[in-house]
Amino acid sequence: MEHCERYTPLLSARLDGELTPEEERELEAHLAVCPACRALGSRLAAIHSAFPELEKVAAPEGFARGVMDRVRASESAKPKVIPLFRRPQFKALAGMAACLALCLGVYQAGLPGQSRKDAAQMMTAADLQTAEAEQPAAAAAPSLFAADTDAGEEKAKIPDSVPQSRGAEQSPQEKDGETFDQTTVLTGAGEQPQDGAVNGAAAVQSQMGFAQEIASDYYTFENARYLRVSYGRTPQAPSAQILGSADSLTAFLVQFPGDDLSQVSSDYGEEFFAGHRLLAIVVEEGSGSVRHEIAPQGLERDRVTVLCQTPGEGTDDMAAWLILAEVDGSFRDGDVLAVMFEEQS
Amino acid sequence: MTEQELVARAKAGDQDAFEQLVLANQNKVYSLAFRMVNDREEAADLAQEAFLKAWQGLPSFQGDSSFSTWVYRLASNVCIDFLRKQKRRREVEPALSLDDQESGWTEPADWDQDPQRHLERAERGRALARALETLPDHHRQVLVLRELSGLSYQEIGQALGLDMGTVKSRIARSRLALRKILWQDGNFFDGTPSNPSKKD
Repeated sequence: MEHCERYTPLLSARLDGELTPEEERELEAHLAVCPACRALGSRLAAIHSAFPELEKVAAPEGFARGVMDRVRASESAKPKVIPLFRRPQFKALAGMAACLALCLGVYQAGLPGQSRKDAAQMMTAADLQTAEAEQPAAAAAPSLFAADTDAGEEKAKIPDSVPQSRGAEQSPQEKDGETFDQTTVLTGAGEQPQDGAVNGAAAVQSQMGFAQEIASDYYTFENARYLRVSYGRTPQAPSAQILGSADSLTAFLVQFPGDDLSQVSSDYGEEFFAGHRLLAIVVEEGSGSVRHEIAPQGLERDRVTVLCQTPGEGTDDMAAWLILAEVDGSFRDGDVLAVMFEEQS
Repeated sequence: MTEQELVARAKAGDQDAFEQLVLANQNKVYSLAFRMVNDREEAADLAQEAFLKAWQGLPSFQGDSSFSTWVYRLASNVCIDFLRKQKRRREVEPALSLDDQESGWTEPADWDQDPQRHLERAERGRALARALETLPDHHRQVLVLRELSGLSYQEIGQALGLDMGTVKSRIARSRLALRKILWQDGNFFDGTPSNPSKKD
């Protein structure tokens, strides 16, 4: 019988479908000659099959009320934030700024003598600004959270020197072979202004003092990490969501059964989530050679842009990645972001 | 109103609809939590937390599974997290990770089935429940994760920080211990197993 003890775990594992083919064969061979183990197998199977009949325990009285109290408490605790750029006063100011930029540009350029091309370019500046008021495009480079204020406060940051992201590279509106660099317009830094209109626009923004707020719907992130995970054993891809607590992270990571993400669990505990959130992006590619990067200016409230670099030659294996980045506490747990891709050559 | 309709309303912010979903699933979720932690107060807290997460996660709930299955899964995760924290409090704990997968997730078996055999089943269910409650925590938890939450051995190992071999042997020992308790209580569970092994 001592010999039989080693088969007990196999008898149990068979009930759970956890035997390897080799173990299965070994167990079958033993059961063929061992009535005691057959009997034990039968008993364990009976217990296993009884679990669906396990008596339910009634939830205590007032349970649902307690849940709803917690729901209401969580709702009232939510920060009621209207993003800066969506506030009516800023929309109005943005419109005024656009008009001022146009007028000043017209004035400085001496419109009567200017070519149509210059006028078109000036319009571009104004249009861009107006557009930015609705969906700002200047970026906040990855910066630390040291400047974090209240958790619910909207942050709108533009660094003194804006890095040139692919988004900025691809956004410039090209007309007649000339490139209109919005980074220049929005920050007044970087390239030299190309004409009076642009110069004027930058000057107005500077005078108004809120150009940065108007132009910034991008959010900072830091410590991005790119983890290769098991293809086909991830949540839906592409997807991006905000994890706002250690519990949420736990619930999220269970969706990666093929990977050891224990380091992630241990890196982000309750202390981290006290002031920050974790952005979790899942992407899949037809090749493991594709490289990804969150665009430096790619994080917005409801979307995130991922830069993809596909090498000329690479493997043709299917591949998946989990991308994690630390974001500020103004994002809400459970927020879902759209994932936008930008191909890089 | 169907579950789908309630979910749609709840997603739109209707708290009354969500409360209906809570009422419809509270016993199942609470039972899981209770089986996992064997403490009614703690179980209520964990089950409520699971429902709160469901409310907060509703915007991202795609409806790929039923709400019932989804919230059950959330409850499993909440419980696992609780167990991990509990373990960390008790001992120096190596880094852990959790794990789950859609394909490994099995809809909990129907709890209210077959009226003809209801009494017999109910008695077996009660006996099993009593026996389960007397199991040591580490035995009960692996069994609940396996039998009620439907996690694979690998998932259980990652949830509890155990290697696969330990999970396998612990589940086997837990079943033997359960078997012993049932036997001592006069519940033999031997007669006509509804799902006998191939050799029997």
